[in-house]
Amino acid sequence: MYFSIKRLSYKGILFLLLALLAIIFAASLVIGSEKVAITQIIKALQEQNYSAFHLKILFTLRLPRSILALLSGALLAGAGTVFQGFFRNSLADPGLIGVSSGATLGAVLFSIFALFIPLGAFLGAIAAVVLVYIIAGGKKTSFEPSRLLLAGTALGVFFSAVTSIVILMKDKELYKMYLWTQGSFNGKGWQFVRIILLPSILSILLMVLTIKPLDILSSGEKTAQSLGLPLQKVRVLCLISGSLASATAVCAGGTIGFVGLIAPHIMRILFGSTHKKLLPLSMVFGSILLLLADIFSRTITAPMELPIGIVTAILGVPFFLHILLHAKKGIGR
Amino acid sequence: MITLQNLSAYYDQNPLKKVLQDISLSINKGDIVSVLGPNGSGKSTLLSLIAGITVPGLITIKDSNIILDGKDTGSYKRKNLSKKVSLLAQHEQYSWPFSVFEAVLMGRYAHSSWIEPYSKEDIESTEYQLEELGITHLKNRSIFEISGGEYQRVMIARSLAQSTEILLLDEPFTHLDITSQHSLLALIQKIAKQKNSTVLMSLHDINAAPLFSDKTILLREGNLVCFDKTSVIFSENYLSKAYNTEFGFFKHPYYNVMQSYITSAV
Repeated sequence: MYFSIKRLSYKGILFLLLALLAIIFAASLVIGSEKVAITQIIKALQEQNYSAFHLKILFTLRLPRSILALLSGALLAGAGTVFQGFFRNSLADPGLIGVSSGATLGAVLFSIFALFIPLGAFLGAIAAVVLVYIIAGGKKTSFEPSRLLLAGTALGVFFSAVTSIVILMKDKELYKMYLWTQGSFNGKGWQFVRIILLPSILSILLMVLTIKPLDILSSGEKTAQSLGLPLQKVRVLCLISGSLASATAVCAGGTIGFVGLIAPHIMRILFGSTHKKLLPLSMVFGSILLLLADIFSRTITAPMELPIGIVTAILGVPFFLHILLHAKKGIGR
Repeated sequence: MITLQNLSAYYDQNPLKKVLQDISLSINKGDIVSVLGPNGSGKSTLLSLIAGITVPGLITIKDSNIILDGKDTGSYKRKNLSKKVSLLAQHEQYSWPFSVFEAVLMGRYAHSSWIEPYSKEDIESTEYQLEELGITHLKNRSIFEISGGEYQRVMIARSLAQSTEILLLDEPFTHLDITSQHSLLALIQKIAKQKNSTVLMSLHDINAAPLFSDKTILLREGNLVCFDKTSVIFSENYLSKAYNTEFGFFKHPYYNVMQSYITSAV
């Protein structure tokens, strides 16, 4: 099984994953606390009864929600891939290194002052990643994995604490904000898709630019320079693209951890380390994971809903421990 | 041609202790040069600076110049400098298990564009280097699963794939057994002579220098003890000065070059 997957060509794998994504995307439209049968939809469309209940659920609730989950998954996995390359550590995930919490804090602060929320998220993400970078020893030639994780976790907890204080002070929107920080796609309609569409495309384009540099960067910092990599420019590019992707994902669904950890890691083990393959595969796989998690979050306790961040954490923590315990050459290899 | 003028450098935490002090010398095209000196004498720093690499915390003093083909290395664009000089750095490891082919292909980065895939020429050059280093059969193996000697061959193939006139190698044989070291030395020497490349190589094993190099740079605590023909360095008491130890010399019975041995540790 393992071997036969490896023998598939890159295009074949990408195609299979995209097909799987399409199936799950379609499934996410019909599965939920209110079942939407395909036959009912077809019937409503034939009768041109566009105000039909099921059609409404589909177009105003399910479709934007699934699009948000799909984009967030791709962005989180993409950001995870970029940060893992940037920190040269397979444990770097936007959630684990405090970037998502930073973005959440930025977004919450900006929302209080009635400023443009996505910008707040982006600035929060950038600030977090710069801080982690400095604390984890960015001035030295290599990152000690434990320092990266400790710094990221500490900062993440700190940002979350400040976010909680801010939310508590503004108790009117308490519950909605709480749900949002936990990660949820509930009740997010087309206006959210509209907000995140442009930053999503922009961050994906920027991440594509990091593909070749990330390969070179993984050879070590001296070596990367001697191979011709302009280190500082590439660092800034990684920082901006990863932060923008994380922040956009936070705007779409709040703090969702572990997708950025799991997707690149599995794809790397199965299909190799070159980012030319790794980035696209991880992004598609991230979408699949998050769509599945979203379906899970709204069906397992239906009609109640679990925050999706809880679902990804329950899936992700055992995985995280597995990487930690089974890493061959030190943590995060 | 490489010219160093008053090259001095220090780390920002300790400005009084120079890791390199006032080094001036010229290396001609096609020279094969060994860099010798005890641990901490500045060998790695010297090679890094010639390759134009920014080392965190390392500061070069203002009137230091490194001139390469008439231009200061600082004025080169990173990629253009990497088309002229390659450095095989010490102690650096890949963070992910790339295949041998992928690792060697990275040597072509300076010649390829920012975003486009590697060209056919890049692929061919990679295949050629794999062949030349005798590692074609390892092509699809993970670089984490091959032996130390094989890994070092991969790294040298990557440096050669960069097709630079100047090849800098920082203690490339440190962890290799004596046969691997010897065959790689001979191979590098052969390739360098063929292509008329300039090679600067820091060596741990001082007796490798006479076998391999025409000239030797001898360093001690950041100072240049001597830069001369290797045969000169291996006949006077320069080595004693650099290593603070008494040396004796004898002729290598097979290669007919001078070799050294320690007579007493001071």
